[in-house]
Amino acid sequence: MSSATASDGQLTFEAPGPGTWLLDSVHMPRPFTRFQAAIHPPALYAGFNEGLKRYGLILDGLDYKMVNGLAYFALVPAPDSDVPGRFAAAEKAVAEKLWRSDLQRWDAEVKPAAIRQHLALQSVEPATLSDEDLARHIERCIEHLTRMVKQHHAFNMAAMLPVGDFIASVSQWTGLPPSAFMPVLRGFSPESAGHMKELDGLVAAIHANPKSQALLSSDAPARQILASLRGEPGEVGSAASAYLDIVSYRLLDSLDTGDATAIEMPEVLLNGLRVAVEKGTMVLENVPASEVATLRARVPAEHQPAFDELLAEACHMSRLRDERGLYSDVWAAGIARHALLAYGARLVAIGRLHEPAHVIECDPTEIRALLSGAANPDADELAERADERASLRASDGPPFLGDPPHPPPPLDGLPPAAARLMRALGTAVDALFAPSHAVSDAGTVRGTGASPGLYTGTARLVSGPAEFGRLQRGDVLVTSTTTEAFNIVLPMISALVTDTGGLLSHAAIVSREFGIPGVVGCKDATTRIADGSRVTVNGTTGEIKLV
Amino acid sequence: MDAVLLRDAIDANVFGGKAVQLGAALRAGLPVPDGIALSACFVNALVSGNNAARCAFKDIAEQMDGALAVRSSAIGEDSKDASFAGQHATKLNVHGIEPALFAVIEVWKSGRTETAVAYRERMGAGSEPQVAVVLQRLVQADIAGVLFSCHPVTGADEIIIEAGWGLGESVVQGMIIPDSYRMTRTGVVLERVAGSKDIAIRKLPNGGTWQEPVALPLARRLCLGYPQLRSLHELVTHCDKTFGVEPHDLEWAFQGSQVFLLQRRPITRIGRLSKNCALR
Repeated sequence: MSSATASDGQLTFEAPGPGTWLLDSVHMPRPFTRFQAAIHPPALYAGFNEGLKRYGLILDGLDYKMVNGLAYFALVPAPDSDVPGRFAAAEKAVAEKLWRSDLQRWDAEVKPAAIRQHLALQSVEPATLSDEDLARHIERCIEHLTRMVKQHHAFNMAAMLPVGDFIASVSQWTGLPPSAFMPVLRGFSPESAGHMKELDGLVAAIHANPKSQALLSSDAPARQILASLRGEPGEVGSAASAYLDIVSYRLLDSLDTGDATAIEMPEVLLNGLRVAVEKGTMVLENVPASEVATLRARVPAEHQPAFDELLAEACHMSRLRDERGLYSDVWAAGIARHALLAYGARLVAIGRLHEPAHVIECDPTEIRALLSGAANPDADELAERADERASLRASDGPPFLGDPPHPPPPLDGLPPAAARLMRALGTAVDALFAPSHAVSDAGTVRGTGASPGLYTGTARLVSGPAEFGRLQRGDVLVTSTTTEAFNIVLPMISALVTDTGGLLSHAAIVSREFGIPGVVGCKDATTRIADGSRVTVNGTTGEIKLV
Repeated sequence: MDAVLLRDAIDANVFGGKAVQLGAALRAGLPVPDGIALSACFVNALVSGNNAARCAFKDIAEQMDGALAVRSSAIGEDSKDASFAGQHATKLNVHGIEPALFAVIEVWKSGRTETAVAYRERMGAGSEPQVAVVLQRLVQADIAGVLFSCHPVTGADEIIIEAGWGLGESVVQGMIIPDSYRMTRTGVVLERVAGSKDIAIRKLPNGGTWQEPVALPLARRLCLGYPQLRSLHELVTHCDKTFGVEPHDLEWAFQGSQVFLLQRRPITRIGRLSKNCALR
C-alpha cells in the first residue's frame, strides 16, 4: 500500500501505474484497512476475470490499487490472443442467456452453500477458543473471506449485463435519460428493500405473540432485547434466531472488515425490526402496467418485442445485484471481523494493543506474525494507522489519477454479441459510478434523480455505522455512499441523498425499491447540507432545496 | 529594576505569577523553554522611556536572539482565585531588539484596557495593574494545546487534554474545535475525539504569526498518538512532583517528538476550557 505525505503534512496522490486510475468511492467510502487491502484486489480480480471470460468481454479485469488506502482501479484489456475466443464466448452467452443459468446456479447451489459455510464458521465462538485454535479459526476466516470476495465478483456479469443492456437499448430507442425509466425495474430486488423471508417470518411471529411485542418495545438495552427474542420459546425464538443468524454479522456500510457489523450496533438492528413490525409484512409494490405501457409506447414499434424481452431479463436478474454481496463477502468479512476482534481483545488484555479493532490494521501476514509472537507492528503504530484511516474519506482523493479518463473506443469493429455486451457493461459501470454533472448553487444541491417523488424532512448526515443510531423515522439520510449492507437502516428513512454513485448504485436501487425520493451523485451533499436542517428532496428533478 | 534568568524568578510580587511558576518548573527540570523575567518595575521604566532601562533591555534582548514569545506575568495574575486568562496580550514570534521592546510595551498596555481593568476590579485586585513580562524562546510547535489534571467543569479525577495543529493560540483562543482526550490519572487513555482543526497558527519568517488554513483530511486527523499522550502524562506526573497534587492547568507544545511546558498554573475557580470545548 502506498502512502505519501507532503512536507506540509497533506497527503499526496500519485498514479500507481501507467494509464487512467478511477477512484472507487462508491463501494468504499473510507480507506481500506491493510487487512482488506491485501485480500480484496486479487480476489476481486480473479472473480471479475472469470465472469469476463465466460461472457466473452474483451476486458480481463479491474486492477485495484490502494493509494493512501483509497481504492483506485484501472481497466485491464484482454490479451490479443484471447480475443477470438472471447467473441465466440459472447455469442454463446447471448444466445443461451447465460445470466439465467448463472442465477439458477446462484439460487440452487452457490448461495445455499455460502450460507451453510457462513453459519458453520459463525457457530464457532472465537472468544472460547484456545490461542492455537483461534489462530486456526482466523486462518479459516481469511480463506473463507477470500473465496467470498471472488464469488461476489464472479457474478458481476450476470448482475450487470442484462440491466446495462436494458438501459443502453431503451436510451437509444427513446432518447430518454435513464433516470426517466429506471423506476420500471422497481419491485424486483426485494432484498434491496430489506425484504427477506426470515424477516417476514419474524414479523409474523411477533404479530401473533403479544408478549414478544411488549418485549420489542421495552426500554431494555437493544442487545438484551435481541437476545431475549432469540430465547423466546416457540415460533418467535426460532424466527428471531433464523433472522439474526443471517443479518448479525453483515457489515453495516462497507465491504471492509475494518467497519462495524450489525450486531455491534444492536440499536440499529432493533430499530429496523421495530419499523418492520409496525409496518407489517412488506408487500412489494408492483409497477403499474400503465407505467410500463407508457414507456413501451415511446419505443419504435419494430423494437417493442426486443424491449419486452430486455425488460423481462433486467427484472429477472435485478435482485442478484445486492444478493451477491450480501451472501458473499459482506457476511464473510463480518465473521472474520468477529474472530479478529476476539484476538484483538486478547492482545489488549496483555497490553500489546490499545484497542481490539486495531488488529485489523494489520495485513494477514502481519497477523500471522503476531499470532506467532512477533513484536511488530507495535500497538502505537497500529493506532497510528487507525487514526490515519479514520481521518480520510474517499471524497478526499482526486476522482482520477494518471491520464484523464477518455471515452471508450468505438464498438463498431466488434461482432454484434461482443459489441452488445461491451455496451451493456460500459452502461452499467457508468450507471454505477458516474456522478451527476449538475452543479449545485446557493440554496439548491443537485445530483442525479434516482427515484421519483417529493419529500420534506430533517436531513441526517451520517458518515458511518457509528452514527446509524442517530437516524430517526422520517429522516432524510444524507451520506457519501451506501452499500448492500446499509439495507438494515433503510426502513426508517423517507428520502436518500448521496455524494457518489449513479443510477445503478446501491442507493439508487434501494430508494426505488422503497419508493422514497432518491438523489445520488451530488458530489457535495454532505458538505452543503447541514445535519438537522430541513430539506426538500425532489427525486424527479434531482434537486435538494435547503429550506 | 530587575531582569533575571527565568529559572531565577522566585518572588511573585516582583516577577508575577507566570514567571515564578515557570522558574520553579525550570529548576525542577521540567522542559520549559529558557527565557528572561522582567520585573514590573523594570517594565514600568521601559514604558516611561527610562534610558538606563532601555540600555539594559538592549543587552538582554541581544542575548535572546531568535524567535521570542513575549508574555505578561502580571502581579496577582494566575493566583488560585483568578486566572486572568486572556486578559493580557501575548506577542509571538518577536525578532530583534526594537520589536521586542515594542512587544513589552504592548503587553503592558493590554493590562490597562477597559476590560482588563474591569476584570481586576471584579476580582478585587485593584485597578492599577503591575505587569511583569516574560521573554521566552518560541517553541516551533507542530502540535500544541492545554491540559487539565482534573476535569475543569465536573472536577472528575481525570486528565483532560485539548490539542490542535501549530502554536497553541488556536486552542486557547477558541479559534478551532480542538481534539479532546481523556486519560486516567495513571495514564490509561479513555477517549480520543477528533475535532475540526482547520486553522494552524504558524510563525511568519520576519516576525508575527498567521492563520494557516489546514485542509482535510489533516484537519480531522487526531493530532496526538499514544506516544505523545504518554509524554504528556509524564509531564503532568512531573508537575505533580514539583507543584504538589493541586490540579494543574498546563499549556504545552510538541516540537517534533520533544514536549515543552509553556505555562503552568493551578486550576482556578473559573474554568478555562477553550470556547468550542464540547464539555461545556
